[in-house]
Amino acid sequence: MTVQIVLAIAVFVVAYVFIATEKLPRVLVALGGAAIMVVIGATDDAAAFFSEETGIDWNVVFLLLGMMIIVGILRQTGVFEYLAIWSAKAAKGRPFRIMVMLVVITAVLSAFLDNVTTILLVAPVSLLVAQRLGKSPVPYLLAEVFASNIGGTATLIGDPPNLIIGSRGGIGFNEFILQLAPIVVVLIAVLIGLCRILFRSTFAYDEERAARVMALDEREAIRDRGLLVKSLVVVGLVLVGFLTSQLTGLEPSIVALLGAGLLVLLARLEPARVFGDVEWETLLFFAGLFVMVGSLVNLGVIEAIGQAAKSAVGDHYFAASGVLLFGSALFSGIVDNIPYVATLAPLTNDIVQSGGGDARPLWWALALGADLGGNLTAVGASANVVMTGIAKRNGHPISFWEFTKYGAIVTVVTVGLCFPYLWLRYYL
Amino acid sequence: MHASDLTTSLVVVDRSTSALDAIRLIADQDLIGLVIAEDGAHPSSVVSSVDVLRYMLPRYLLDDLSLTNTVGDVGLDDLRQGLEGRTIGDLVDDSTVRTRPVLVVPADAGPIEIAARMVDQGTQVALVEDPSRSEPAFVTLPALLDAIVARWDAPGPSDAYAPSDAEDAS
Repeated sequence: MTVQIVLAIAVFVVAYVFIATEKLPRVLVALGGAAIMVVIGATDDAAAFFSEETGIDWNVVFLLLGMMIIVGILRQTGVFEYLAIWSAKAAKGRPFRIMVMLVVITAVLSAFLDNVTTILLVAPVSLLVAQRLGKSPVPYLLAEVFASNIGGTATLIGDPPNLIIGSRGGIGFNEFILQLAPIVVVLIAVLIGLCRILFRSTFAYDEERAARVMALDEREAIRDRGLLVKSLVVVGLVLVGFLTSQLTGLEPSIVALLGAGLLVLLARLEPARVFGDVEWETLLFFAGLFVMVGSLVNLGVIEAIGQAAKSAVGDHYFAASGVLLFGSALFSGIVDNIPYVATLAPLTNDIVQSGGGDARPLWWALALGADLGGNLTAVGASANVVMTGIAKRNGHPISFWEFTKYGAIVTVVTVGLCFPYLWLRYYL
Repeated sequence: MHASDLTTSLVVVDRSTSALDAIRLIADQDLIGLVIAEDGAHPSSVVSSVDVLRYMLPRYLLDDLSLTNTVGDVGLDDLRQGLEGRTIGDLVDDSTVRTRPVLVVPADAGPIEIAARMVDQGTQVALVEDPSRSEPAFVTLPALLDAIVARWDAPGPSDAYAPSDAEDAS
């Protein structure tokens, strides 16, 4: 092992510790780590910018950018608030039915929007509805964040780790839905059952309170009907583009960028409103992370670990899926799942490439573990951190342990159900 | 014209004053802010009426302005309900509400000095330091501007520079 390799591994491990402990802003750590990798010669401009294997995964970065622009414009129409209030009224102000509606809407939205955005959209409505019901909003917020992390698992664009898995594994939008959406539907139904048990003391019905919920006027949430129509047309086109990407040969990133461009043209909004919701820090974080992981690929570190993993796995792919599923869930419950999946994706790719079809379910094990594990603790996913922040600002703090008490149950049950799903669907 | 000529009396609230009473006070007296005696005796801080409004509104409505139209008139009842049991002490302790230390100006401070100090401290109320008064007296921004405008409108000699006869001759 050369000094360069030792240095590169040290840089990677130190950066990982800083990202996991959040001692420094993660974007600074990722970009700083990438810069050091360049300085020590672990990568260069050609490898960082122009190589699919060892550089920045532009498909992921531009897919995220395109979706951020589209969602940023769409949310200005008030359509998400309309949907959430409509659902609460459709539940006739009955607390448990409202929770079911909000869980389902959150899960569906999360499948197509990033989880943090979904929580930012749904949480204020939940606080309003809970206030009208005279209930604590905490059970509603917890149920929604769990639904968000589960729902985001269903599609290629639902959770950032899925983007990385899709790009590294060459997995299309449709394949993601076909493989993961069935189990996600089951898990959402199970989550609703769990919520009924976990939060059973909060569902008492009060007719007068229900009338206050029914007094909300969802139509007033729509601020710009023209923009809403344009946005929905573009979102529809983008979804068709995703679903037909294998036929058209257009990568999802190109579809998202074309959709964003079209919506920017149609919306005619000032730049601050168009790009205000783009999380540039997240995009740069991804770029830095890809360069760091790519440096290890460049130096052959990932290949060496992949060889060792292949020897250990042999042809026991079901056992490997189980280890990957539960290990990823545990790991992602404690630290950010994006760097975890960014590191594991090239390793998994090596095993899948050499193992063929039998090894392909490893991708699903990785996605399910990394995405669902986010429910384990209050810091397991960015959406959890955002939700607890909103709850605190509104006078309903949720402690780390209170979150974990419920999150652990949800994670154990949902991840536990994925194991027989993998066995039944791929190895029986 | 000095600070002591521009004074007005303001109700001083303390930490135990209920938030609902404080809001009624602002509404009844058209106040631009509240003067707070945090130790219960001496005016120590000022909170603007906009910050009181910020405290009044649920945070989730400020986070998502799309919701503000959906709440209807029932939303006004929600506001009152949300403030029940809360006090000025809660408002002062809320990290989202900005209270400022009360600005103290000497009794002989002129309008420009008071104006500059108000701008410097970002406040619209100044406590006049005058040992001869038993009750606290304040200069408010509207009273200060009234005095400044009255001075501009008053007939009489101006302080503006005018060339002297001697300068004209030269």
